[in-house]
Amino acid sequence: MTEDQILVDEVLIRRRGAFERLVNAHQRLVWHVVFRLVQHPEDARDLCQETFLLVHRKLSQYRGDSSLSSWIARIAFNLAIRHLQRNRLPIQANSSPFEDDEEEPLLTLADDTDLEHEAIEQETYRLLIGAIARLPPMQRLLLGLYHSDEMSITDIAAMTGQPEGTVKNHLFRARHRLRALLEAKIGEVA
Amino acid sequence: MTHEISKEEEALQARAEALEQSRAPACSDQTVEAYRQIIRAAKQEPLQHLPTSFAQQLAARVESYRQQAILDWWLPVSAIVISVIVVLITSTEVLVESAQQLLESGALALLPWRLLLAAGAAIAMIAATDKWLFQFQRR
Repeated sequence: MTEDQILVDEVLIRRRGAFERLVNAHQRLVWHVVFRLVQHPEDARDLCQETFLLVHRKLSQYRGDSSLSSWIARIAFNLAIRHLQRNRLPIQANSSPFEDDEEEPLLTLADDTDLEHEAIEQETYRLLIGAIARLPPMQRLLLGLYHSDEMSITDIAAMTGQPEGTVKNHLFRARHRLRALLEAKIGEVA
Repeated sequence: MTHEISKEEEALQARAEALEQSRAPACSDQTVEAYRQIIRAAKQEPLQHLPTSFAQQLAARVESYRQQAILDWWLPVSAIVISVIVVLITSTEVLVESAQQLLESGALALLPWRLLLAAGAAIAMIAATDKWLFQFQRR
């Protein structure tokens, strides 16, 4: 019996503190999945609660075919996607990660000729963080799950219900897009 | 041509990823370095977090839902049981008289006791099998 199944059984027989342990173990991933898609703290918090309440209700249906974290993340993913669809928010829209009317850190820095390399790096980093936040939700999510949460392509594919090739393609395009935009910004500055 | 460029880009991204994983020092290829910056930025976790007491609050909420569900089940059941007891207490004489009449007339002997016993056993077996199958499927 795996650790996941032991924990699930403990929750099902209502062992004291078992559900709290389950939430504690998986809340970080659920928050990352939901917040990266929704980008609204209050909505994301509500969706996290909804996710775990649904997990509690459906836990007897967990068969152990995938890891418990993948199973829970998939529930969180589906709820967040449904939320976006209900609110008619784009999931894979092609909006520009760099907004034209926003102050651009690199352009601000361009006036100063004595900038140190580290400072430029930091500003580039901030610029990229902003650009990632404005990526289409699906690309933003996949980029975060792969690089930050270190989920495998297989697990991401299982969670999102997309083929592995599509996940790889999304990742490749997201990074390529960010690089092109980054170089364009640096080019403007130069 | 586009395909070739994509393959080349893929290779650059893979190289950047490998260098980032091994924490290698900066290389001379600007494109690879740009991808490494992107990977580092992508590692950033969301700045907002769930409250530290989130799990505790949620567990308390689930427990209160469960207690409410128990209450919702027990209230009507208790009401029925109390009603039956009240009826039994207030109508004991009538019931005892009816039972005596049944015994005296020998009507109880006409009941199919074996059939009733078999039906009871079958119902108990079905319930036990259902529970066992549920446990078996979970494993």
